Amino acid sequence: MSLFFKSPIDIEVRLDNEDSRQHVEVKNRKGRKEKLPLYEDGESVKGQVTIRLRNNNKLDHLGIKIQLIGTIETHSNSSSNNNASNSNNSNLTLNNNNDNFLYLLQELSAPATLNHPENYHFEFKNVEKQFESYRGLNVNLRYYLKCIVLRKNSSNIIREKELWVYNHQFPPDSPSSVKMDVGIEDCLHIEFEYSKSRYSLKDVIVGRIYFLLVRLKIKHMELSLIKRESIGTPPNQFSNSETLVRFEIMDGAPVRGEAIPIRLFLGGFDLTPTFRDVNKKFSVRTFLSLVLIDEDSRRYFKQSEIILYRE
Amino acid sequence: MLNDSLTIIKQQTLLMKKCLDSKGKLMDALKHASTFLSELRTSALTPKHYYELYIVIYDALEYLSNYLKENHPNNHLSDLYELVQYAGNIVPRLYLMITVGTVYMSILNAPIKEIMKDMIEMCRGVQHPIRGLFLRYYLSQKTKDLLPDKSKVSENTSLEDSTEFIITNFIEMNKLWVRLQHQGHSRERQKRTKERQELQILVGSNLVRLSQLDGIDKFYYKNVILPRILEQIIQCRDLIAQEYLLDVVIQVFPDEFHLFTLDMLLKATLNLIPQVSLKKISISLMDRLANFIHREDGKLKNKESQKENGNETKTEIETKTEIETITENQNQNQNQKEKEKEKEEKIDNNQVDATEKEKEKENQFDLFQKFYSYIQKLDELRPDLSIDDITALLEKLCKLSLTYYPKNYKNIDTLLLHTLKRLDEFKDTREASSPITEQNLKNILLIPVDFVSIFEVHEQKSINLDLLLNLKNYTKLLESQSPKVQSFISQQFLDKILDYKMQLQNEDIVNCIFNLLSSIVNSNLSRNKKSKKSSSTSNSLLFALINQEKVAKILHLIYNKDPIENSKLLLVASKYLSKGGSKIKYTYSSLIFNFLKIIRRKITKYEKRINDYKREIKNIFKGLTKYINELYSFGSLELALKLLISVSNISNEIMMNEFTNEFFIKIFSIYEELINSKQQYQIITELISVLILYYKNFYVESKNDYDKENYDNLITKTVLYSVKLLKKPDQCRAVYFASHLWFQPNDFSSKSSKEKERGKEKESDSVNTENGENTENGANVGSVGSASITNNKRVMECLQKSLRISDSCIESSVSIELFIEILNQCIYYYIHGNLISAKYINDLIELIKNNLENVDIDELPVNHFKRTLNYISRQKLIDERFELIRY
Repeated sequence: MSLFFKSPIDIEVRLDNEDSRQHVEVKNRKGRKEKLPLYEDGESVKGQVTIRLRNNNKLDHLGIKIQLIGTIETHSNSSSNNNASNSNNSNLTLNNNNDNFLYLLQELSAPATLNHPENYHFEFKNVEKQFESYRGLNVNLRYYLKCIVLRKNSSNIIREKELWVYNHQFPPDSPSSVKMDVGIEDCLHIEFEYSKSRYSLKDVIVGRIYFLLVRLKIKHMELSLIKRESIGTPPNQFSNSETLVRFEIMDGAPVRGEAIPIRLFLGGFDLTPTFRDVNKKFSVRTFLSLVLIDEDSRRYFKQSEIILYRE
Repeated sequence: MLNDSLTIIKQQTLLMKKCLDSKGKLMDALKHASTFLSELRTSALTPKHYYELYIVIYDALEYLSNYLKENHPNNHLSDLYELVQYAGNIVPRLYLMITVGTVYMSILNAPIKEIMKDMIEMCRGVQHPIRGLFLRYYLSQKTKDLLPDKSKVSENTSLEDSTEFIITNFIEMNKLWVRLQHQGHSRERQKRTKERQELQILVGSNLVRLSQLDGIDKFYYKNVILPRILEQIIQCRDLIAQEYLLDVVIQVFPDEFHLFTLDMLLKATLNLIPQVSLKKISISLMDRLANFIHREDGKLKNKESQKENGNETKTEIETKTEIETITENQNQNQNQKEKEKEKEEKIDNNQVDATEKEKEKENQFDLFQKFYSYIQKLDELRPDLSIDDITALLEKLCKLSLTYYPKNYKNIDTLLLHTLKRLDEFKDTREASSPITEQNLKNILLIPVDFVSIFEVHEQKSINLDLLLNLKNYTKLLESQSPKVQSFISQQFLDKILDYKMQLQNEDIVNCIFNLLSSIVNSNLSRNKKSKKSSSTSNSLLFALINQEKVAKILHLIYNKDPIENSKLLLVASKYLSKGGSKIKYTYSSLIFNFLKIIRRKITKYEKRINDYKREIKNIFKGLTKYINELYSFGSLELALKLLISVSNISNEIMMNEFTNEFFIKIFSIYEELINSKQQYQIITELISVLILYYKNFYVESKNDYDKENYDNLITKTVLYSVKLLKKPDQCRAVYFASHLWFQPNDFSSKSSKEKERGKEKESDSVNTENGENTENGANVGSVGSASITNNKRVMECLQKSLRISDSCIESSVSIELFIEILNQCIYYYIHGNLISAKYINDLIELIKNNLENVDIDELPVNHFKRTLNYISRQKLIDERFELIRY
């Protein structure tokens, strides 16, 4: 919008030590990568706003304030039913349904007239950032600074700056291994074992698959990581799954008694920690799916959830 | 298909190299590598074509690993090792992992053990047989020089890690390889079997690798390596795998190991699936061990020569002892016995170098017993084993035993007995007579034959038949064989003996040899007839003749310095020969001549005491008569006659006139049965010439009137036979020859011995030639004494008779020829005496001339006549009596 209505001023929000601060590369909606400064829970957000005048005009304003907002944006149109097939079409006609779970405000300036560029310092002390930032298919969780210059007659001038937040968790005390026993009667019987059910994002999934009975003509076996994003609460829940990784772990047909090792490094993939009922709005969960493909390209799979966390 | 893949691989390899050469593009390079590696995911290629892909890719990856190695401080290899594991497809992922992993292993302070474990574990992900085999082969190739062993062991790695690594790889590869057999359609079974054989070397390479590890001793091999390998081989229950892998095991590991683990190895073979040819395996094992001895000998020689050079060897042995001590300590749980043995070895080792060989032999415990009990067990456990397999095994065992225990004939004998027993069990089956079995048996039987060798004792060469002599069961086994086999063996044996041309000097040897040759020597009339009918080709007949000829040659090899002994040996031989039936006609002549030779030797040796030996000689003569009778009874009349003549020659030579007479009577009796007139004529002429020789002994030397009478009888009889000859010309010639019987130009009693000799020569000459005997003159004739047999009347009668006979010939050319010949005879008599008048000769010449004029005949008689006349005219120059002859 700023293209059409050229704003008379230039607002720059700068964070302290922004250059040296760690940044996170995130893909935006258009698929472009952008770099966002990274914050953690309880960390102060501190910086300064610089307002420069254009064309040396004066500017009268009714006050300048800066907000730190944490919000959950669900793109799902609330009117549409929970049909996954609609979700793609509905993307275009998103009704942004925002839910702010964090709202902090700081006045930077009382109403005044700006004659020359001005710096305003701001600081939100020890902000609790309960949730991690997230950009999903149908839901975003964003933190952003919003600087607003109020004007009398015309619309307010707004400048936003997005932050990225990581929430670190401590590793669970005792990693418990996951064992599962699945099969098709008289056809296939496998047992698989993952070293644990909770993984940090830089972790590696290690496991082993035992073939106890093989009567299928298996061609290969792969492991996939599926991210499921669900919005809302049942019964009005809306879910969307996305296969993030496909990883072949076996080539050819095993015989009874074979044990196939699994090792999948997670660090290289763009994974999201498990979010459960974030602000009762949405969840993001990751499933590990073991898929067997037989010679007729039939797929047999078993999914199990893994909990991902940021260490 | 293949070409497409190859093109892609080449392109991607190029791209990869480009990326590697430009900085900071390692990731891209890896991506290209991953792309070309994806070509190895194909299932559409045969093993051969897949191998072609593999080769190209191997080279490409080699380039990559070289790059990684050179740049390794820049690229953290452990990170890289993780990085390549993000590849989505397992085959490219693992190839990359191995490539990076092996580079990682090669650098200093790398966690070699962990990398090895990880790679071998992750390779399990490829369960497709061909892809898996090649992947694991790649693993094995790349790790080849990196595995820790004695020469490159570090703190946290050990030889065990390497063996574990290789054995695991081996087991997995074998599983994949075996699985290949069971995939796909069952009608492509054949094709798969072939494919598997193409792939076998990949599996076997692991065992080769294992054997190349430095620092494996036999204890470690026995306790760790072999049990696992064998277990896998047994468990896979696959024909190709079991046969191939056991063979590889046998071939790649050192002989010492095999000796040390023989029990295990043999026991393992008993647990293989029944289709496996145990024969092949055991044979290759036995061959290997048999060759081992030869190799060891070579080594030992080298060592000895080294020792001469200095005491290098000594230190070598010392270090060896040290090593042994170490291993000994390591294997404390080995039982006490073995320890003791070890100690003994040690002591031996320290003592003398030369005992080393003996030590090794001791060390081999009883190799033969092991194998023998193994074969016995086989018989028990695998009754389905075919007889040709059994025989093949036994054959090899024989050879093995001979290499290890050349002096232990009992072993061989046991085996032969065993063979005999087993053969008995299979007697009526078809297999028992299969060509393979036959061949095997032949080989078994040939072993002792081949073992016959020459050795030197006191600088004298002698034949070594010890082995054969000590085998009690050999002849039994030989006799149980088909005549074809028997004769084959006998032939080989014959050739062998003849090759060596060794004298057979004692009875045992002669007995032994003739036992072996019995199939050739003996006649089996019924069989002979059959075989003659079935194979009456001239070839086989010729063959049989050649064999007989060889037997005859053998007879000549029988020799002992002592003639009496020698004749005993010949007697032994003759016993065997006499079983030959009609075959004796080929061998007896040689036998008889050998006897004659002995008599001759006796004569020369005991010339002065000849009478002492007459009895023995008499015995020999009696024997000879018997042989000749046998020949006669088989219808070889002519041969019998000729031999008799030869024998009578000898008996004459030693003045045993009664025998000579006997022989002649025998001659006459056989002669009468001759049918062929040509033979008759030949024999008659021979008789005449021989009789002339005997004249001296019967008439001149003998004091016995009886002899003279006998002689008269003999010559009268001869003349009678002459007259009875069938054809006129033969009659005529025989008669004029016979005339000489009554004409002895020399008086032996009055001449010196020297002249006697000369006279003798001339006598024999004069029968057939017309040489002028100008040294002999009329004086000779005149001095014919009372003892002389010369009877002019008889001579004349004979000449007249022959004239009459020739005259009665219908063909004039023949009769003219005969006339001329008679003329020649007359001239001879004219020269040597006065019983022929010049007129007689003139008349004869006249007669011939007349006949020549009347008949138009060819040149031959004419020339003969001319030559005769020429002779007369020349004779005139030296002998005035010839003046009386006119023509």
